Amino acid sequence: MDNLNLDQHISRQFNDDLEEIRTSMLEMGGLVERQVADAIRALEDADSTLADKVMEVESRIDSMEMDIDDTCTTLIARRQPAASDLRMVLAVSKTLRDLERIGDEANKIAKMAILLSEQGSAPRGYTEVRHIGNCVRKMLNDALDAFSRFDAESAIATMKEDRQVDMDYKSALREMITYMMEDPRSISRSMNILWTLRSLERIGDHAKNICEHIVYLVQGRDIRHRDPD
Amino acid sequence: MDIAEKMNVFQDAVQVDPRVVAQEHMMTGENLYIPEKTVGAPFVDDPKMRMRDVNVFYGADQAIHGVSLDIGKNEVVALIGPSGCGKSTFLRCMNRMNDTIDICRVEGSLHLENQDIYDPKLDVVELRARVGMVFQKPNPFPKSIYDNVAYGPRIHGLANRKTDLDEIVENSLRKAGLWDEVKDRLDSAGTGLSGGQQQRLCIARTIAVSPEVVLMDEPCSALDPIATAKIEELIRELSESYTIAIVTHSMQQAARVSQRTAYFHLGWLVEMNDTDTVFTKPQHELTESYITGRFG
Repeated sequence: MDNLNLDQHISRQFNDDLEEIRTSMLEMGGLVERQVADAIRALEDADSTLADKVMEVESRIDSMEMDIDDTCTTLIARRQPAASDLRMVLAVSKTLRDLERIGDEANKIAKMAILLSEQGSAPRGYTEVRHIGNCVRKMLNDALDAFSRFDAESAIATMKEDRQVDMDYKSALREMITYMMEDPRSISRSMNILWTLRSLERIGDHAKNICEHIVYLVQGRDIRHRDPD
Repeated sequence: MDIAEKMNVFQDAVQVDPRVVAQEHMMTGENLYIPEKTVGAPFVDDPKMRMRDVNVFYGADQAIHGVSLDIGKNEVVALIGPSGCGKSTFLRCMNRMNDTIDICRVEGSLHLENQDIYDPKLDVVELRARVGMVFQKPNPFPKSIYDNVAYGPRIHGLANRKTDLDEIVENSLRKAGLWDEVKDRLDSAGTGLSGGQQQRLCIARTIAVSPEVVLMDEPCSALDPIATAKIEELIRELSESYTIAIVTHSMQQAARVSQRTAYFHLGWLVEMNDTDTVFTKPQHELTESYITGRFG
């Protein structure tokens, strides 16, 4: 199945339990990915129906987070996992939290999409949203892919992309502020774009966190707050 | 090709890789090898006990293969591994309990500070007072609780007066966490106590002669969870005054009580590291497989 031999315990039930938390988490990841993509599209197309759909999925993601977390708790209590098994449960539990937060950010973007569809679209910023949106969607996709393959190298490569996202976010921010100063009538609508950009930047941060959990899971190294190399 | 040549070819074939195949992976069938050198950090500065290149044979069978490790002062070291991996055999070398087995032969150097444990001139009884042992099954003498604890100090002449002996007995029972439970019935038989109390009595008996090192060979395997928790708490308290080496089949116990853990496999010391590392990110695949329940 994988390079951590998670399916080779003497207890087959233990194999099944570990496999269950992993596949459920990846399933939740898929749902969150879809939610982010839909939220960005709803904003670009001023599609409030799609935005409503994004917000409906939110409660499903929340309940998945609680269910999988509950399974993790039971697994710790019943199996007392050690070494790579322990790191697996911890990594899944932490990743769940990041995925749920990404879901929250997608929800915020969907709200902005509804506001912009009601107030009329903002004069600027859609190109930046599309560009940064594509970057963070790719980061999230690559992070989940690396998790499914237990690939620490590709996780490290993915987390480095966050630097570029941060730089792009700052430059988009400057541009939007400049525009608002030039045309104060657009401030309210431009602010909605700013919040969206901020949410996208946060999604990038959470995808980076997921990559850090993967490196911890596979290599046992804690690379938070330090250079991954 | 005659039969002798055929045998040579066969032997060459089986000796292709000098490393020992420790385990065939249950699912992949891939071979896991014993590392050529113990992985991790088996040595410490200024150790209490220092073992180097220890080999143990039972007749022609080799039970321990070139094990080298240190046990630090006031440290709790856990020895873990599957049944028959040599952890108990190794523990018993440390106070020459293996001397009682005729066919057992020990090679290598074992030192308690500067004292060579296998020095032929060494008084073994004195060594066992310095390096005490607690066994798997509680084994109190068929005597009173008082006499069980007083036995060691008496034969080693540690107390000249009855009041001194009383003090040693009380202190030892207190340290073993048993005083409050038995202080009113010191004259009743030690064998009449519950299993957990008997084991704490044996610990009191061991520490009554003020040892420097206490060896424990699966001290909780015959006890219920509450008695086990009491012994584990006791181990933590005792480590303030003594150096402790414990053999255990319970990995959770090793994780709870020890500062460093040694993993034995088929008589080799595969890995020794601080316990946190062994249980969160073991460096050798055999250690990982064992502590995560992939074989054992």
